[in-house]
Amino acid sequence: MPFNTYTFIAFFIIVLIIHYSLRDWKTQKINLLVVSYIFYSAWNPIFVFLLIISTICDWIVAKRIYSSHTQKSKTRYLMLSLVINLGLLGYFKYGAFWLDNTIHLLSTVGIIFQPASFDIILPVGISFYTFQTLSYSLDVYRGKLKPGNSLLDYALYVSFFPQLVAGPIVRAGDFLPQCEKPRRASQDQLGWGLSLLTIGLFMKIILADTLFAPVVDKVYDNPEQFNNLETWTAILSFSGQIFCDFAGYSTCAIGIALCLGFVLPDNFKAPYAALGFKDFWQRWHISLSSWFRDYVYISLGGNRISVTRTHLNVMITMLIAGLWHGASWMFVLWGGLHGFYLLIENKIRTYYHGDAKLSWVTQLALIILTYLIVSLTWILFRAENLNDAAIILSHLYSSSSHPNRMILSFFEINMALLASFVLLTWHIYQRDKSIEHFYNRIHPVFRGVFLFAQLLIIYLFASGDDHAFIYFQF
Amino acid sequence: MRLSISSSNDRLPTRYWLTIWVGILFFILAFILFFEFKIRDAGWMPSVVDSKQLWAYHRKRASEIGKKAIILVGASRIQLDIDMDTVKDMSMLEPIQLAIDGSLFMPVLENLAQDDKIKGTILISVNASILSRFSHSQLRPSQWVKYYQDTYLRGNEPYRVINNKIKSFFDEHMVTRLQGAKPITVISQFALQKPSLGNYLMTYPDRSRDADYTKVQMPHFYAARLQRHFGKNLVEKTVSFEQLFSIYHKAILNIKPVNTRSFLKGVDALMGLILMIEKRGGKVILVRFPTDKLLWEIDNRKYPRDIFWNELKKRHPETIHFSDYPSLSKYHLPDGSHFDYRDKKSFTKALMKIILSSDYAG
Repeated sequence: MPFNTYTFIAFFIIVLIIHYSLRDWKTQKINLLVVSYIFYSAWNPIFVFLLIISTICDWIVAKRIYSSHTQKSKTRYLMLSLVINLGLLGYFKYGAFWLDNTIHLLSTVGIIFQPASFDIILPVGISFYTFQTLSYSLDVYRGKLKPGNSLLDYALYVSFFPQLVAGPIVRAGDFLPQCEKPRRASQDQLGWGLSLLTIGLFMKIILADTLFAPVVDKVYDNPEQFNNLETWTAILSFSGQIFCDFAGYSTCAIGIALCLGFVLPDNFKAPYAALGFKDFWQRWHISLSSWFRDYVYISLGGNRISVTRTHLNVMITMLIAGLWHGASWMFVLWGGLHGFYLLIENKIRTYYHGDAKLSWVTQLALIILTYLIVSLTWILFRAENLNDAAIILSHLYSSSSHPNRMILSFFEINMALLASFVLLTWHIYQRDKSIEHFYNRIHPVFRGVFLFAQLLIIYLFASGDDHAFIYFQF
Repeated sequence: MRLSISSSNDRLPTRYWLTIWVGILFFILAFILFFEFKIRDAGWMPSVVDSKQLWAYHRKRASEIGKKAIILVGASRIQLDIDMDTVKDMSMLEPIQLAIDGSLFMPVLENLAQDDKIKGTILISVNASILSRFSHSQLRPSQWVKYYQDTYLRGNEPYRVINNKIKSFFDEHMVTRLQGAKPITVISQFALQKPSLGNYLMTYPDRSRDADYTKVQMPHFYAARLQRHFGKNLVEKTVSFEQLFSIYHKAILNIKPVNTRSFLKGVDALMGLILMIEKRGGKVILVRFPTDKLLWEIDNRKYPRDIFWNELKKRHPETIHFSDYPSLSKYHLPDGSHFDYRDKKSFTKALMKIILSSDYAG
């Protein structure tokens, strides 16, 4: 169940009450595992079995990898883990995609292949928990991690409900040690956890769904009808929407876990204040980009082989990262473009000795340039197809057939642009700080006032409908 | 323990959290309760939201009940004018309200006609204007029918089922969420409406509705309805009923009857659907619900009864036109188009009497 629903709020209150009325740590963990399965089954109860199968498989495989005496045997077990995890992911997430592409490819050489149609329902969060279980097997294989002795702890690591369906993608090395000793949230953790939940919900319900999404949806649904100003507004609004949607979810997840005494890693760090693309990927969906860096890029050889190979590795990693986001060539293109930007940036850095200190004006200019390029690249991420993306791109400088006709209201445009500007300014201000830094600096009364204002705005402006989180589809 | 990636736990804002959260919850509750009481005090009452979920629930009931159902199809008139208890008591059938406010009924009737389990009586609120526009695409009824077929019948995700129930509970019990609106909309409407008379519409769980016209400002309300019906605003500022009648009456005299081509196509489409229902033992009764004063005059000039309604009656004798029955046409309709809730019971009684006597078909 998504965090922005009444169902979740009721669920979470019950979970908190039960969790803190239990005294024994093992019982508390069993309770958390059971409620995590209940949480997951709220989408489709059948898929809980998939989650359990995935959990058990990697638990056994990791044990076997660890106890194997030969490298060959370790590799064989690792391959088994890869086949199981990527097989499940490949079938559920990419099955229809591969089939469509095969049919299309065959038709181009004159072979008409028409298989029986089949509907595959994508289990929510499969991309996230598959990556968690994979990282566990890979870490054991690399000798970075010793398999734990408790299946309960491992199952909780895979299924812990705050991060189960949309991350942050947690490493076993970070989570399993937290299961060893009883964890009880302090008053500060509970207070701040609830604050993060409020901030995350505000980002999702108010900023992403109420402020940005209506503008984005209107323009992307019929891109040919909008003029330059409207199209630019939609482009910048989507940057705001996707950040507030996804970072909102991660903030909620971190807050909820904190209320239960668990610590999850940061997933975003003022990404729109990034100085270039390398910096952007160290700030955007950090848990995923670091996963790709550690398990794909480094596995391919990283930058240890040759310059050409480094470039190739960057491109392969980014293309796969694009595909991870969804079964569509649009995502692959989006990932590929980011890979290309990284290569160009790398060249420029080498040429200009990139570590040199930059003046604040240059920094600001680079931040804005990065923000604009990232925003333009989001077009591929959001548009339905290449044709729509091309129309949107062309409307950025030319206009619709009625350049003076405005479909969006001035209020919508002004609000969306103002919100985008505030978001960018906030990121620049927060570039080297954290949200906690801000709340730490202000007087507790103002802390209360800010949180009260956010809750009040949620109450006043929320429709009560549950708009899905964008990253659930991944 | 350090995480490989720094986290919010390392830099927690500390102190006073209990006080802060108790304070926040207190002020939020105080704010909500203040407006709940203030708005109720001004005559506003919470009401059930007439949502697609509620419609789908009743649509499913229609299939389940089958022959024992009397299904009401149409738009706001049949939804506001019919008293469900009276229908139930007099017919001994289970009334199911499937009318959708402000819409054309064709997508709903199509859906019913395609469902073999629909074998009971269907009462359709129909008029020549609706049948002439039968082919117009209508987003809402089509969306609701699609939701019923594609989502509701397949079964929702479990969390959505619970969420809908909780949301309905809040919508039905909180006046600041009136009709499922955002509280900001309700509060600002309440603040701007001077004097505040409250909401004139109430929806009930069976999807029937009551209109209380003592809560609207006349003649503005009537003028707005008239303007919508006529298709043009002829009065710029507030005028009396008398002035309104005189201005519009002159204009109405110039209305010419519309061509029957689209209407006849609409009748053909309607007859096709009726035939499907009748073939499996169902019964369809077409009712022209009352309109009065200038609205009836507009209707009758645009779609003269002798041409349009009589053509319909020729094709499907089971029709009831309000103007044929003094017991149906004697009422004063405050907005010219719908009943005040105080009159709906006696109107329903009169209508049911005609239906049960079966002498309308002759």
